[in-house]
Amino acid sequence: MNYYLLMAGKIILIFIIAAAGLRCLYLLARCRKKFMTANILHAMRPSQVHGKGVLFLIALFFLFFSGIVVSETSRQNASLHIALTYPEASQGLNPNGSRYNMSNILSDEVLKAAIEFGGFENLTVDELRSSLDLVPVQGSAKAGEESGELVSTQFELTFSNNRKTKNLSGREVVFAVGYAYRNWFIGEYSPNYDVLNISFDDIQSYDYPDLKSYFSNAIQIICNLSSSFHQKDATFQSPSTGESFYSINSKAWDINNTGLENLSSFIMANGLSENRSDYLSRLRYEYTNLCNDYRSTIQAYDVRIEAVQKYDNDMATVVYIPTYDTDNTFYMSKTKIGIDHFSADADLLSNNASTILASILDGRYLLQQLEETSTSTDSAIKAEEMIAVLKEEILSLSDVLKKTIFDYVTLSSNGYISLTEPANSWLFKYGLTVAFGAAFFAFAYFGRAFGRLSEKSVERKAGENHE
Amino acid sequence: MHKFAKAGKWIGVGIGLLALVYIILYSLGRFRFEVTFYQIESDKTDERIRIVGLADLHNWTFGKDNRDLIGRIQTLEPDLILIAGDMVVAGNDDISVAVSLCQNLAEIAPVYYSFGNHENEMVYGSDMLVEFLDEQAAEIGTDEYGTLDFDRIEMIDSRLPEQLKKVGVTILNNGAASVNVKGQQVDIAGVDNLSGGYFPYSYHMIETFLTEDQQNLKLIIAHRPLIPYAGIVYQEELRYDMLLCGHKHGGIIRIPGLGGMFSSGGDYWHWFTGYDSGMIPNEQGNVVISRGLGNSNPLPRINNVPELVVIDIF
Repeated sequence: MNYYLLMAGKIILIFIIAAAGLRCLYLLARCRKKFMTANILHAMRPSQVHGKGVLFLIALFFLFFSGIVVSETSRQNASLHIALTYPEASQGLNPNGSRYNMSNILSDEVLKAAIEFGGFENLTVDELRSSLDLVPVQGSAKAGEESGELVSTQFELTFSNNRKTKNLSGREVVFAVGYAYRNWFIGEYSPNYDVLNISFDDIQSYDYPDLKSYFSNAIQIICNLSSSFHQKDATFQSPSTGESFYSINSKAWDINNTGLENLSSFIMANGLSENRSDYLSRLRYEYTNLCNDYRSTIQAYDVRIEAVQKYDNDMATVVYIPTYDTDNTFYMSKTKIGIDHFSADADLLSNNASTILASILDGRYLLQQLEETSTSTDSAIKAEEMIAVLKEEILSLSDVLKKTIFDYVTLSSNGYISLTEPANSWLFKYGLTVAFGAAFFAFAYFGRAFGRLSEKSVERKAGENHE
Repeated sequence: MHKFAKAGKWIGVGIGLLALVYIILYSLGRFRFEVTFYQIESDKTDERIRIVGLADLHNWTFGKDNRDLIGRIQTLEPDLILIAGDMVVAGNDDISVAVSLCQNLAEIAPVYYSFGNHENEMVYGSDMLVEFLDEQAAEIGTDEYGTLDFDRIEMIDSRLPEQLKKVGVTILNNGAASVNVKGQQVDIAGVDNLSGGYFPYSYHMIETFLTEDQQNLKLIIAHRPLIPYAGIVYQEELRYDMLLCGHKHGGIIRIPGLGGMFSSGGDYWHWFTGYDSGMIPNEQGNVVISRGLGNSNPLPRINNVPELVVIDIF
């Protein structure tokens, strides 16, 4: 309904009630001066009031009119409950652990999105904000687990039409704001697993020997993501995939340790390479660097060992000092001296050297295979088949993980935010209508009663004067 | 005589007041509409896909040539427009409102239209009662699974489907189509018959539709809510993303706390049947029942503003 038409309706409604009420009070006051209470009470009896039927009909029509005004007012002034349904909400936190801020609901970003969402033309963010009000819902607060403070998890968003927002439907506006906020919230705080959109489009740019690290990166994405969700909820099992994060992680490692290893071994055993000379040149360069790294690591290791051996035995005598552990328990602790640091360094360098040596041996074997063999068509075909199978396994597992994460987020967060219209708001609405109708009927009825009483008084006086 | 004159006067006043009340109530439910937003989460799509659903227009207009309705739909920027039938009135030859509206909507987004009972009566001369479908099956035959090709049913008035196709609307009567929206393949099926005709004439079409290419979004337009609740529900293993219905006009008169009062079914009225508005998720998918945009009888829509539904799938 047009905003101004509704405003006129409200004014007429209030005017009629006010006028009827004032008339009733005026007549009552007049009657009080002239008549005793018993007379007034007698005049109010139904048998003394004429035209009750007409009054009732008029009151019915007024009831209908006020019902229209109240209904249209509530249609233009709507409310919405925005409830936070994820577990961290009761602690006043966002899903990522940061502090929750309810003012984001009316932020520029959200309101702009709401205007776009609802397709509201010629409406600015400020105009929309001027018509919105946001308060925590009474009784929705929950005690925070750690602090014990009451934290609101439900908010009431109310839209009141004004001259700027004029003919907008309140219900449309509050739902548009609610959904815009929900979309913004999910975008900000729900887990982002776009990394699972694994694509092997660029695989052709990789030579066969490089495929191990190429696929290993893709598998690592699945392993890391499944592992991180496993830490959040180790027992979760997806209803749609039947998998847990642990099972997906295991499957990813299986692919890595069998399918990928088999492919890598096959490539090395057959010396497969598409651009053999370039690849050989690169491998030799890397091999030389590895050998240099190994030599420098071993030398560094030897230096530390020599330093440890040169340490004076007296200097190495253990000295104990008193201290407290993490449980605040007193104990005697050994001090660290130079020999300890040298030993630790030597240990680390020894491990590094072992790793480098393993890479050197692999590289030497690969160089040997590439130099001694040539790529055959059969081995290339077989390798492509193995690559296709591996790709399919990785993509399939990635899809399973996506669905599992989707189910986890959906079930654990309960959608993050739920939007509901206030319950029983219609009770108040129609109660108000009945109250208006009843008030009008009461004023009209009593006004008629008192008016009739006054008329009788005037008639009697006129009669007496005549006599 | 005086008494009769007085009585007559009061009857006249009463009738006048009732007429005034009717005019006010009818006007409030006639010349405006509101948009109801729904959101459905799906792991099939990364981008938001917006669907605008219309139903039960019954030749009503909002603004000259429905410009208010078209303008509002335009500002909502839908990716798809689904029409759940009953845009015309059976027994009324006028199809210009529906055709003109569809022509304008087709310029905004792809439009998919599934017939309702009024279109069926206008075009085929009968609603899709099981007796009528049995006759047609005997005449034109069905495929090996019992699916009836509605496009082969003889039409008594082909103007509506012809003109709709001419303006670019895809009609789905017991059939399906597929469209790519923002890189996501969306499959849409349309089905309308009374539940007695669903088995055997439509069930296999729906089964095939929902079991093939399950990575695609699956949308169904079914004019009557009978289809999901007395048809597809018996195919327990099937899943859909969204099913759009209309037909019930929101129950015409909505009583707070009780819902819609009326629902027509055949030759008689039902009372407070429920399933007349809102989004009702179930195990198989999300059913969206539109309160519709119009009415086919003189009853005023009370507390039941005409509704345009917007469903965002993301």
